[in-house]
Amino acid sequence: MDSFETRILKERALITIVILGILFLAIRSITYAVQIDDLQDENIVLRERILESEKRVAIIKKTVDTVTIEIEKKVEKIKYLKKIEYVKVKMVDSMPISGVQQYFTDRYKR
Amino acid sequence: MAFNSISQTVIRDSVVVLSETTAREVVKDLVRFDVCRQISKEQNNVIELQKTKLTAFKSIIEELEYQKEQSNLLVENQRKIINKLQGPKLHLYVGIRNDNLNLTTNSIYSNLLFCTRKIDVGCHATLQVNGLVNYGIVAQYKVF
Repeated sequence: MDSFETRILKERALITIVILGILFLAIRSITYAVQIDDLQDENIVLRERILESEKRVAIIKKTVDTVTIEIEKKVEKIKYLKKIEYVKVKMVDSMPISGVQQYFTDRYKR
Repeated sequence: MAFNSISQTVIRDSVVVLSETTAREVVKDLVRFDVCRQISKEQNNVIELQKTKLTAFKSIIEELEYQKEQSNLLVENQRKIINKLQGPKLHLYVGIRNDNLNLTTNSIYSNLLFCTRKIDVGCHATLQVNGLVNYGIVAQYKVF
């Protein structure tokens, strides 16, 4: 059996260890809380940046859609021009000779 | 005797005579040429628009890369927060136990532990029926 003094010393040592541990945890948790706050603030900024970027992408996508529609219109116009060309070429076959002469006259007016 | 002045000089163009078939073919070619010119103009416009589209796609890719970068930072921060929240915590356990399933040897025990994810370290105190108090250090590893 331990003597009374030894027992008291052991108890005190144990209590000191527990108190030091609690102090360590308290300081650590306060430091962590501050660091977590900083990280969360940083996260808010990061989320805002991502949202802004998403908005920019949405605007660019709208531009792409507009341009795509324009391209489709141009392609349709080219198809239409090719049809017109076919019709005009066919018309030349059925054109009277005076029409052919008139064509040259109109085209190369002085 | 009189001379023509320069302004009065008449220069006659050469005259080319075409057969009807050839004339029609020439007209057809001219019609095709006119249309080709218009088509070429439209195709140039299409090329310009495609260039604009390409630039827009490049911008989108840049923006997505930026978003990915920012998201990675966000994930990294969240991981840091989780790690900090999972740091050592102080737990106090109080309970009753007996030895050899004998109700007469009950004791009250208490564990004060600093718990991490895998290892717990702390001290324990046991109050036995006969009034004796035992205390000591506890170190335990979480197996599962």
